[in-house]
Amino acid sequence: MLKKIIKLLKSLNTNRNPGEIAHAVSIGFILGLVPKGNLLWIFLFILFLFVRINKGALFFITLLASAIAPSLDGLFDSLGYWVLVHPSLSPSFSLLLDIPFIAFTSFNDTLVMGGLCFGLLSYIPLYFLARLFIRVWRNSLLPKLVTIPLFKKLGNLFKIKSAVDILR
Amino acid sequence: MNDEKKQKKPKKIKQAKTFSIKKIPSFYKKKKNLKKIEKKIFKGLHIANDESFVRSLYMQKDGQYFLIEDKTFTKKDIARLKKIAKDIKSQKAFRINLLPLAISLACIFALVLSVITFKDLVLKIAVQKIGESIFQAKCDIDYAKIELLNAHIRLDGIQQADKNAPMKNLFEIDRIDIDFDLLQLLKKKFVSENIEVRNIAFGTDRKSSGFIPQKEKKQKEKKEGDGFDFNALLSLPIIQDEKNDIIESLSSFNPETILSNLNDSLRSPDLAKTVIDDVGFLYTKYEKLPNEFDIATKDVQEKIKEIQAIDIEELKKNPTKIPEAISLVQSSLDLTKEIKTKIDKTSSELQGDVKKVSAYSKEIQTAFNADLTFVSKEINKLTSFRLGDAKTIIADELEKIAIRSLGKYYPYAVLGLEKVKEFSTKPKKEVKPKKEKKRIIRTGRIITYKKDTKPSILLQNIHLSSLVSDWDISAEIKDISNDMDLWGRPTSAEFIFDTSSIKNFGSLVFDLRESRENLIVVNYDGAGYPMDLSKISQSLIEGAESQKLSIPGLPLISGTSKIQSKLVADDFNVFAIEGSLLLDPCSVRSASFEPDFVYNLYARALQKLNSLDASFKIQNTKDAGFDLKISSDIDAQFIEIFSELMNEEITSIQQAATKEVEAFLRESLAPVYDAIGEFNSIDELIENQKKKLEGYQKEAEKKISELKQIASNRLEEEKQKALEQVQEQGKEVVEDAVKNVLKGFF
Repeated sequence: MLKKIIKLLKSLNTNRNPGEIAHAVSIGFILGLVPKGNLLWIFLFILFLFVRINKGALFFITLLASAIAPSLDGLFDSLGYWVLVHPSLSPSFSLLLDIPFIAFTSFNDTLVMGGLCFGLLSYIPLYFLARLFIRVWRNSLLPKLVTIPLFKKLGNLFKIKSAVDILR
Repeated sequence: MNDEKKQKKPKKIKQAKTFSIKKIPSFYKKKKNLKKIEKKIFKGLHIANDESFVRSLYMQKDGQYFLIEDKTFTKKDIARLKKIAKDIKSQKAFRINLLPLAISLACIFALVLSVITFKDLVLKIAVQKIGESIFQAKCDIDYAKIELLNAHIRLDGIQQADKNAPMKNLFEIDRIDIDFDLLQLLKKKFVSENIEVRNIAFGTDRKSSGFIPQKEKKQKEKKEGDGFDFNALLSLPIIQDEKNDIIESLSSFNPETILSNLNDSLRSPDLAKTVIDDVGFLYTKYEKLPNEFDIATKDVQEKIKEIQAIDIEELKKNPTKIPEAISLVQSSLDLTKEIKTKIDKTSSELQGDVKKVSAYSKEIQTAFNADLTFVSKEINKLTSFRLGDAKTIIADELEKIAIRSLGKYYPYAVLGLEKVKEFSTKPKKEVKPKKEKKRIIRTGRIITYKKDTKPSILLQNIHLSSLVSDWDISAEIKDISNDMDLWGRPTSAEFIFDTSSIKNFGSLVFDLRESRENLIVVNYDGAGYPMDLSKISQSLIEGAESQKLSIPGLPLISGTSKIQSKLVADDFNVFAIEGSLLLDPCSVRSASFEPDFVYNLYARALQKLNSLDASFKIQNTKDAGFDLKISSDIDAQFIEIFSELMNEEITSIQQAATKEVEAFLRESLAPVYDAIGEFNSIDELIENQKKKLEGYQKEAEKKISELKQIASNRLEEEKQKALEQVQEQGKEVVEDAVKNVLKGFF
C-alpha cells in the first residue's frame, strides 16, 4: 500500500498525465462509495484495472472514500431509493432484475445505487477538481514544499527523495 | 532554482562536466514540425519548470522549432531530459491496457470452455451420487446434458439398482427433462417449470450388479407420532369376536339352539344322565362275571371234551376201564352242576336288575317321544321368518375391510404426510448465537419491483408417463413447493392407471397454506378392477387372524368393481372418507354351516345377489372420535330374498328342523341305549353260558347213562356168561364175583 502511495506521490510530482490521476480519483471515489461484496463492485474494479489510470491514486482514493462512505449512507439510501423507484426507470430496472446474474450486482440495493449515482454525478466535478489540484500542486505547492526541511526528511522517509530531486 | 543554489554554494561544487546537444535523448531530436513538437512534447509537459526547461532546448524559426545546437548540458540535465521523455512517452491517448485485458479474457474463455466441456459429466456424476446416497445402490445414467442458457437438463437411461436385489432395478426411467429457472437458481432457489418423466419401469433386470458397500449409519430414533391410534380401533369387538349374525338369526331353526333354549322343558336329557349313571353302576357290578363264568365254562368244556374222547367200543371190549370213565364223567357233571348253581344264583339277581334297566329304557323312550312332540310343537309355532331390518351382514364385511385397511395403511399415510408437511412447511430459521462481526457490511433497502412468490423449492409441473406391460400410466403433479403460503397454490396431482379393461383416475390436493380449507383432498375413481373382498381382507390380516375368514356363513364377495371415493382431511387425525363401491357383476358365497337345509337356502339367497352397491363414510373428529358407517342396499336385498325363501319353504324347513331335532335327540340318547345294550349283553352272555352248561350237563348225564348202559349190558353179558360158567363151574361163585365188581357202582 505504501508503494502505491509512493507511486501516487511520484506521479503527482512528475509529468504524468494529470488526467490519469484525475480519472483514478473519480473512479476510486465511485469504488469507495459503492458497497463491496457485490458483482457490480467487482465488475467495476476489474474493469478499471484494465484502464490506464493511476492505480496508486485509485487505491488511495478508494480507501479514503470507503472510510467516509458509511457517514453518507443516509444520503445514498435516499438517492438510491429515489432512482430505483423513479417511475421512468423502475420498469427498466425490473426488466434488468429478470436477467440472470444481474441480481448479483445488487443494483437494486439503495446504498449500491445511491453510491454509484453519487459517484457518477461527482465524477466530472471531481475529475476537474483533481486536475486543478494537480496543477496547483505541481506548479505552486510542490516548489514551495521542497524548500521546507521537514518535507525533505519526510521525502527521505518515504523514499521519494529521487522524485523530489528531479524537481531541483 | 538550480542556478540560485549554485550561486549560494559556489565553493563547494566542482566544475560539472558538460555535454553537447548530441547527448540528449533522440526523443527531442526527431520532431521538427512545429505542430508535432507542440503536440508530442510540450503538451505532455505538466510541470512549468520542466516545460520551460524543455522549451529552452528549441528556438522558433520560420514556423518551425529547431534545437539550439550550441547548448550544453550537465549530466543531471541529460538525466532530467530522459525522465521527462519517459513521462511524455508513457502518456498514451488510448486508455485501455490491452495485454492484461486479453489475458483476462483468455482466462475467462478457458473457464467457460471448461464449464461447457465438463458440465454434462459433472451433472451425470452428481445425479449418480445423489441416487446412490438415497437408495444405497448403484445408479447408472446413459446420458446427461445440461443447457445453462436454455435452463434445461436432460437425463437418459436412468437405472437405479435395488439394494436388496442388486441384479434388479428399483426403477428405470427412459428419459427425464427438467426445465428450470436459471434466474431463481442464481437466487439459491430451485424452481422448475416443467419436469417430464417418460417410461418408468419397476423391477427390471440389470446387466451388472448394483451393489455398493454400505457405510454404517446411525439410525435415527423414530419419533412417536401423535397420530391416531388404530390399535385401539382394531381391538373393537367387531374384529375380536367375529360372529355371523345370519347364523344367529337362524338359530330358531337350529336343533341345537332349539334344544338349548328348551332345555328346562325337556325330560330326556336329565333322565338320560340318571340312566347312564345307574346303568353304568350296574354294568360295573356285573361286567366281570361273564368273564369269570366263561373261564369256568371253559374248564367244564375241557372236561366235556375228555368225556367225548372216551371210546365206548374200547370200554365194551375192556369193561375194567368203565369205572374209571364213569368216575371222570361224574366229576365233570359235579363241576357243571356247581357252576350252573352259581350262574343260576347270579342270573336270578341279574334278572331283577335287567327288569330295572328295561324299565329305564321304556322311560327313556317315553321321555324322548314326549320331548320330540314338545319340540315339534315349538318349531311349528315358527310360521314365518323375518331377519331384523338392521342386519348388515355384507356391510359388516366391508366395514371390517375398511377398518383393517385403515389399520394397515394409516400409519404409513401419517408418516408420509409428516414428511411432506415437513418439506412443504416454510423452514424455520434456527436462531444461532450471533458472532461478533468483524466487518460491517453496508446494506440498504432492497427494491424488488415484483413480489417474489417463488419459494426456495418449487416444481411447477411434473409429468410422468409410462407403459408397463399393458398398463398406461400417466401422472401430472403441480406446484410442489416448500412454502405454499408464499407460492399461493397448493400441491395438486392427477394420475391415471389404465388398461383396456381397468380404469383408475385419482386426484390429490395437498394444502398447507394458512388460508386453506382442507389439508388434503383426495378423489379416486376406479372401474373394471377385479376385486375379491375376502382375499383383500385376508391380505390385511396376518397369521392366525386370517383363519377368521373361514367362519361359516361369512359372506365371501368378489366381482368387478367401480369405486368412487373422496378423502378430506383437516389434520392428520381429523379426516373424512366418503365414497361408494359398486361390484357389478358380483358373486357372493360362503363356507358351509349347519344345519344343511338353512345353509342351502342361505347359499341360494347369496347366489341371487348379482351386484353390490355400497356407500361408506369413515371419519375421525376431535369431538366425536372415530366413526365408520358403511351402508348398502345389498343387505336389504339379501334379507328380503332370504326371508322370502325361508317363508316359501317354512313347512319343509320345519319338518327338516324336526328331523334334525329328532336326530339330535337320538344322538343325545344314544349313549343311554348303548349303556343299556351293554348291560343287557351281560345278561345275554350269562344266559348263553348257562345254556352251554346245561348242554354240558346233559351231555355228561347222557354219557353216564350210556356208560351205565354199557356196564349194565356188560353185566348182563357177564351174568349170562357166569350163569353159563356156573352152570358150568358153579353159578354162585360168579355171581359173587360180579357182585364184588359192581359193588362200587351202586
